[in-house]
Amino acid sequence: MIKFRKFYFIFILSVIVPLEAFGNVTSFSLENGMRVVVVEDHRAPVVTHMVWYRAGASDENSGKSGIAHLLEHLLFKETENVENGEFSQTVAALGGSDNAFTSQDYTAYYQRVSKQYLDLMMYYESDRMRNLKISELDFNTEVKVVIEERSQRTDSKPGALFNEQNMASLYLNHPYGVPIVGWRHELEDLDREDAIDFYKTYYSPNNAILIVSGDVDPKNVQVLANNFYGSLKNTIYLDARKRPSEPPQIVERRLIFEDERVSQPYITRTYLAAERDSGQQREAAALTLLADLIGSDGIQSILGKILQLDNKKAIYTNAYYNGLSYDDTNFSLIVVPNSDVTLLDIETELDRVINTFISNGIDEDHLERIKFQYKAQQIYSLDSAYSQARRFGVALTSGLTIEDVLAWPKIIQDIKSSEILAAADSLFKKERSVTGWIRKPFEERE
Amino acid sequence: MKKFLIAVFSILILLIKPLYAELNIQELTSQNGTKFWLAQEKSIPFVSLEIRFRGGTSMDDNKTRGAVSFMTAMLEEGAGELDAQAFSKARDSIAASFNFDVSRDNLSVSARFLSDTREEAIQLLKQALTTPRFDKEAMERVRKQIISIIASNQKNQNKIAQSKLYELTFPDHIYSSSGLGSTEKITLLNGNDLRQAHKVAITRDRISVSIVGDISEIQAIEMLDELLENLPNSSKLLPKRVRANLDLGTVLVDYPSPQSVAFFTFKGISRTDQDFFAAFVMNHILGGGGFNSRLMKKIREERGLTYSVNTSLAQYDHAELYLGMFQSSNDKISEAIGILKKEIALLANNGVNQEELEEAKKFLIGAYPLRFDGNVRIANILAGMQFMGLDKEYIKLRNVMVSAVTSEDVARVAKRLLSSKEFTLVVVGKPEGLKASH
Repeated sequence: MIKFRKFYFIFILSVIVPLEAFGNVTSFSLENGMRVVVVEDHRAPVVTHMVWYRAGASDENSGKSGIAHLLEHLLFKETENVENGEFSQTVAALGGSDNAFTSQDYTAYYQRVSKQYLDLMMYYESDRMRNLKISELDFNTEVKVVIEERSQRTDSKPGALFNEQNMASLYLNHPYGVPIVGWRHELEDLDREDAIDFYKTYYSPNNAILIVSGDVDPKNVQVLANNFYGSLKNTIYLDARKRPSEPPQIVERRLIFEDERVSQPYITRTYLAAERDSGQQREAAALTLLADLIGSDGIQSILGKILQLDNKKAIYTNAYYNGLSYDDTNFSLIVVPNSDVTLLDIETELDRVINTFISNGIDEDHLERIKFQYKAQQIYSLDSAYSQARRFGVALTSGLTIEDVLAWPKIIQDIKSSEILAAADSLFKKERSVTGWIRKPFEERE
Repeated sequence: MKKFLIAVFSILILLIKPLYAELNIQELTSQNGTKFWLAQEKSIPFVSLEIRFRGGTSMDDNKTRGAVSFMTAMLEEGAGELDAQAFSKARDSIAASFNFDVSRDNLSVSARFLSDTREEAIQLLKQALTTPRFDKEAMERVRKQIISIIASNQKNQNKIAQSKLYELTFPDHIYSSSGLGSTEKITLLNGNDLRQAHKVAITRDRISVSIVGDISEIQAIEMLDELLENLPNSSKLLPKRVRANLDLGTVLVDYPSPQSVAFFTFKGISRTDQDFFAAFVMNHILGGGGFNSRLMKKIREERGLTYSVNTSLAQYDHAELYLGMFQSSNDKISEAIGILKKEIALLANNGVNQEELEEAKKFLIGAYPLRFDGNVRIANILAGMQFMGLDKEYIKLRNVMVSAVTSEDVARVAKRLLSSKEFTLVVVGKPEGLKASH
């Protein structure tokens, strides 16, 4: 009955702090330092409740890779007040859905339910922030599950192994080079104490962000958040978040990855790149537009135009850049050659296209179309309160503020061609890059 | 405590106002006679349009297998006066998006455009659907992409398992082979083959349409008539029903990986079968219900033998299956398969208990209205419903049907579907201690 009382009767009304509102987004902090963001969408009586921790795989102690993600699995087990699996079963009984995800920079948990169950979600989520129990049995079983997960998602897929090696080569010192799921040999060596350590250090209200989106009233969310999360104690000593940083990178790296399961050879080029920093997002915005201009806009991008349409040496080209990252992120290009073109030839072509892009300058019409699509995206994105909520979660755990997130669309619109060229100029330095070739072993090639 | 909380909240769930009470679906017919569903939602200035053309890759002839999916990939590669690049420029300059996709039974069009540029978007989409160019140069480019995808699939563990299963289950039917076609056939396809595929796969009389968003009834009618006016009626019969071949036992395919992939199938059930909802609830309990399913609990939660295992009822236009899949390390897959078979036998012989039945029904009932959030999601559901032949009353009746399922119903349907004699298991990998049946 104690648990029953805890849930229904501890309505301690604490001091209500002022709410800051920006359109449909409201934000405030609890007294213990926990940040709260509310995104309103009243079209359907549904709510998404998320808790994001500013702790991900890159915050693990060295030699303990995979512990952040393993702990995420263990959070669905028992706590001092709740039985094993009870939270998920309750969500299911309400017709809701729940899940969690771990990245290099964050670990996040969410539930999507009918709006009247928000308080119940807060009850369970706040409980497992501080009261988790990790039994030896649950720990050992879950390590096996995670090893199966690694086998399924990484070891069974040559492309995934290749990416893992690319990241490990790109980052000389920063833990972004260590896979989120963990190296297999380290996973096999983890023990229960490692999970408890990570949990006790990082699962603390002042290290967490609560995001509630959907058909809710921010004032009501504030009352509930105070009741459930406001009384939680902080970890007494939490270091400022600082990972080992990259030394000056002075030599280009090259990989040749061979696997008999590869059917289509291709190359990638990955550069170390600036990320979005609070109050300083222009370079990242320029890099975002650069990715579209150079590769991620299909046959309109210069890679597609030259290598797919004009000389027909490639069957697929793309560019990837995501500025949402706590530390230095990366910018990558991929080119899949036509069957009669060698990897060496296509790498030469890639470099030629990069040089052409820099010397020819920017196609202003294309830039305008890209910017217009970002503008339209602001309208389309209103269709999903979940993805809006998720965007705030990623940004806030990457060191940005709500103001930064809200300022971003206008920054994208304001970026000039000269800034994109300048960003390209400082990005495309071979000594800060890895070039990867992936193909089948020699004896299997035709 | 758990039971108590669930009891308290399940009372509440009956009291909430269902979401779909607020969703006003209009069943309309355009001037030209196209039936469609419209849900107006004016709070965000864009429109979501979903179209399903019945037929899909099953409209292929055997000798030109792959033509329909090749043709579908070509729809955004130039139309009317516009070549591939001009078409994508025109589309992007109004920030519209058109996705064309094709599966065994249907070709789908998912379009999204801003209210301000609705007319331009519809003109472009109309050209893509009615006057695709099939330019030689674009065809060669796309042909190479398709051949590369086929080659990748041939080395992809999951795809190998899947295609083996369909090949064995539907011999002599179009479902037996991949809709992508083979390298040999794709190499030989020409412009005429694609034009023929276009003529048989995109037809006005085999259409399901939904429109959701910032648009009025009159605008929606005019828009549809404009979009579809030049489409032909169907000229080719749909394939015949096929009896699934399900008594193959265990089939092994060698593949170099630390893990084996297992795909399995039992007899499926038609949507119109009176036991369909019983099977639907049964599937949730066995393997459809994520972490709370029996298979997930036994194979993952208790023993750590897999990362995920799931089952699903598959309804195709001309056959049904009850499919499942999971992955386990090569040295553990035999143990996992043993548990799978034990759980299947247990369900077939003993049915389900009252408590798990109630929990499954609560989830299925509560989750249904939560699907209807977002214009794009709603448009998708509404087009899918029409494609399946459901009427809009189904939205109200569906939960009534789920709640009427009893444990006797589930036991009956479990006995009917889960027979060890009609069971095929395809394992791809290097499984230890596993023997093929034949």
